[in-house]
Amino acid sequence: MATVNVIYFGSVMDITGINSEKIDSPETLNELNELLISRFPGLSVISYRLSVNRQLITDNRQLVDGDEIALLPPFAGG
Amino acid sequence: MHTSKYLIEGPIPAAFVSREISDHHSKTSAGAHAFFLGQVRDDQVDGKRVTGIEYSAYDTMVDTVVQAIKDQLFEKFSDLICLHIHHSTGLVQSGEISLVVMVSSGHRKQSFAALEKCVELIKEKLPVWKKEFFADGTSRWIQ
Repeated sequence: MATVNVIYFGSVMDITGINSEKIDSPETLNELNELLISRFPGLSVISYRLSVNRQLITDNRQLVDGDEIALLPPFAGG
Repeated sequence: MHTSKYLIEGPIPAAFVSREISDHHSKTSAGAHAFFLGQVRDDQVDGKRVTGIEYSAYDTMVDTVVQAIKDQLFEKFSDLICLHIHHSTGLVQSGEISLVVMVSSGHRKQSFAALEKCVELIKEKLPVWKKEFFADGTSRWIQ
């Protein structure tokens, strides 16, 4: 278990209904993502990427206490 | 309040751009300043007119990403002197400015090239989201 902060943005926030929360997370990013999809099934039908501590992450990784994970829908700046 | 110095609440006023210009009078090695101003367009979507866009951003990641964009451009363009990025958050009405990019270089050529590359990188990498608001009060996320 790792206690992590999870932040939701854009269309993801419409699905979760909150913008952030502390979670007692499973050990890895993939497991955390699966946990979030089971809690918020709407996540399975939209497109988003994951970041850990403000870096986009495309592979799996171990999570540690204090990590900041964000769910990022496609960027649309400008 | 934003923690990122690159983010501005609401539209970016014209006076902000003129202040950027006067702030650069001391940079006398620069021979060119190139600007990009992004303006909210009143698109028609399914017969509905866009009245404004609400921007939201991942503040702390914006700082990380802007620094990475700057590092990449300074490595690529040797004539670059400085580069400034300002992006709105919150509601910006159609016709108002939501993005200002200023690129300064010794000579004009690299200021144009670096400016274009910078705007492309902002579009691709900056963690910013936008929600269009329509004249009938409805809204949708732009993906």
